[in-house]
Amino acid sequence: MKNMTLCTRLNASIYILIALLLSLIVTACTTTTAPSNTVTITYWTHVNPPVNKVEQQLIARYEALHPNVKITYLPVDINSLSTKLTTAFAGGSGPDIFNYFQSYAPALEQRGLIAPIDYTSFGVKDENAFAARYLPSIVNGFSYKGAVYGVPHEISSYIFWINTARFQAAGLDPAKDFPKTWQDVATIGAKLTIRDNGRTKQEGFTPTLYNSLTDILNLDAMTHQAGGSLFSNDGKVATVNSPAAATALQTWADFAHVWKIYDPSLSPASGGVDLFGNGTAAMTSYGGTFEVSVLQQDFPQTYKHYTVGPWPRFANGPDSGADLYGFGLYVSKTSQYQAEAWKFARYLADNGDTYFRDAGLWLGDNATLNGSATRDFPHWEVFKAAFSSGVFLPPLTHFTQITDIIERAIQRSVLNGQSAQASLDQAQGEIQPLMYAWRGRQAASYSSEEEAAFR
Amino acid sequence: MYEQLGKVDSRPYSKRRVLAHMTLAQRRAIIGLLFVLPGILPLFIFVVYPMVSALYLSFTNWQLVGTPVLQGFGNYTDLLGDTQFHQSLIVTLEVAVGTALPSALLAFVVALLLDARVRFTGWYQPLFFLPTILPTVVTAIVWSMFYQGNGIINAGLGLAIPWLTDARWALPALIFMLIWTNLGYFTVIMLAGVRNIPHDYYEAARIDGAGAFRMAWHITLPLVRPVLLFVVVIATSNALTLFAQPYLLTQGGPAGATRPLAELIYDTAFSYLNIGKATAMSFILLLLSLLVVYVQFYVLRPKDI
Repeated sequence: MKNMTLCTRLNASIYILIALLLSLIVTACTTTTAPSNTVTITYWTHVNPPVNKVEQQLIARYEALHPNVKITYLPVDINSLSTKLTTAFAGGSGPDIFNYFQSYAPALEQRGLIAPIDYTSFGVKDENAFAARYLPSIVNGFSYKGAVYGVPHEISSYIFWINTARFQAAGLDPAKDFPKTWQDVATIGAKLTIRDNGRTKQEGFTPTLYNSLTDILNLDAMTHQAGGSLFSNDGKVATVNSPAAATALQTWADFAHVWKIYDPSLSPASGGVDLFGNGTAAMTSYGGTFEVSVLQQDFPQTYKHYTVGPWPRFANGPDSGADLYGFGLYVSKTSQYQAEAWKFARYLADNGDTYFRDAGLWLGDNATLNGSATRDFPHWEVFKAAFSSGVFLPPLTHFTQITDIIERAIQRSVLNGQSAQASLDQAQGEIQPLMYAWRGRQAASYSSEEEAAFR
Repeated sequence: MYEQLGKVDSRPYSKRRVLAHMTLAQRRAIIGLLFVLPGILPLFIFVVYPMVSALYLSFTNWQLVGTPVLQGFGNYTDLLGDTQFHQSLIVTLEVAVGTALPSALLAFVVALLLDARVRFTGWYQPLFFLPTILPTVVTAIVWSMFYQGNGIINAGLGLAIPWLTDARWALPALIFMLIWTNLGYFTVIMLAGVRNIPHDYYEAARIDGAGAFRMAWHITLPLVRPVLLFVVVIATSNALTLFAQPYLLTQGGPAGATRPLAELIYDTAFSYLNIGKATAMSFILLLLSLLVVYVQFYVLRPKDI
């Protein structure tokens, strides 16, 4: 070394460094390409502690039954799941299987990111045989362009909740005075509302707000009840400013502005989901089976004094309740383990009893609906009737954008007092170009005959 | 030495030959560049490259997945007729106007009061700074409770104002919270500027019979002008890139009345998956920011006293 020049020593160091780096790269490559019999499936879902606990136990059992399969389980906050999923797919990664809100799925299908169900994993030949596992309307919510993409994994529908103690304090009979129509809600709500110096101490009724998902479901259901619909069945035509939709939204706004039984200022941004639980609101139109355990754990006082019934209807309107909505298990089209992922989905779907008994979650299956797990569930017949009569929103490829537009329309009427018709006219103007874009042409290029054909 | 090197290696275009033909200044420039390269390289990778990419994407139709398709100025022309974009742009400007100058002036007044060294100043200073160090989420949750219909503000003042659920009140309520949040930070900066002014000026003014207001107007204010400019520019920049507070406080509602441009850009990119349109909005926001800052620099530029 002594005889080496500075330049030679530097060169030697560089060669040694390059050799080390190359050996590291070779080692790394060898490690990743090492043959292995273990299949690792990544499963993403949304955070829901009781359900997450159940799934961790089910996964442990599945791995014990299938020693060559390893499940990487990742619960993600529900508000960021959509963004994380899309960015992961954009980056060429993403989970093999994921639990996702069914109305978001058409956008993923349009981008070629999800695979249709592999019926053989469920031991059946076709869609009809697969659909027989569920109530007749359930699988429709997971179908798109004639194929089924999601395994129903959480199905719910809202029913109507009242606080019996508040009813009795107001001199009302919870059984006899239970509201059957929206007009009843207004009349009874007025008797339940308590104000002091212009400030609301007790709301007669609280719907949801500031949650674009629940709010579009509520508006859609009320529009059906008023004899119309927000969208065509195939989701290609928007009719959000129809007279029925305007009636629905105006009723919602009138609870705040005309009947004054609902005070949106009590729960800005949070949308009032806790107001029924903490006793501030005497009635609410929000809550499915999950609400029972929420009341039991977080609001024991209200849990002692609640009862439920069907969603109110419009007098002389169609006899329909709240919308159905749900989450499904979807398998990524880019997954190299699609078959294994569908098998895992089948395993989870076959454990409907466990999901319901331990987490209050109904997977939409007939076996659980009529089985022992649900028999002792409080007011199960009311929920069951709601599941049987509800319908899903149609598939919408711009679902997120459309729900945001509808949410602003609802807020314009319910909060700002704008007439429902004017607010929905504006929403229709914003939504229609999205529909045209989906059909692949500019609005101006459609003839009136073509437009009529779509309708 | 360089001539010797040239003789040793006479191969055409060799590195040593190239170096030999360089002037000393050129060689120093290259060496200098090599030294700053570790600093510049991340800047190019993480700032310049994403900005250039974003500019390219703003001329494309890209839905995050798949290949971007060039469509010229389509995204920019679409924005001309986009009511949501117009509403958010106006909200952003209203927040900038509503927070920048009031924050700076309020910070100036508080700095003067703190500089007066009244009793218990040591207690006041941390109190003013406290909102700045509180996490944004905590601040927003606390203020949303204050602003509730039956919250502490209405109860304390005997009012029944729907602060966050009425489009007329929601933006002023948000602006007030933003001013409160940043007051401590701006006051500290302003106080440093005020305390930098030599006391001789005030003594001379006092001998000439000037009162406290005249001294503040004719001495303090002109001499803290650069600090004032800094505060106004930072407050404007904060307002133009505002995201977290309205997102947590009102979710942009009611009906978009408090939805700033940054929130709309985020929604457009990651909820609606329209990256081209979102990047076009970002560049309009960038140009707007540059314009506003240029005007501020021009208006508050140093002048002779």
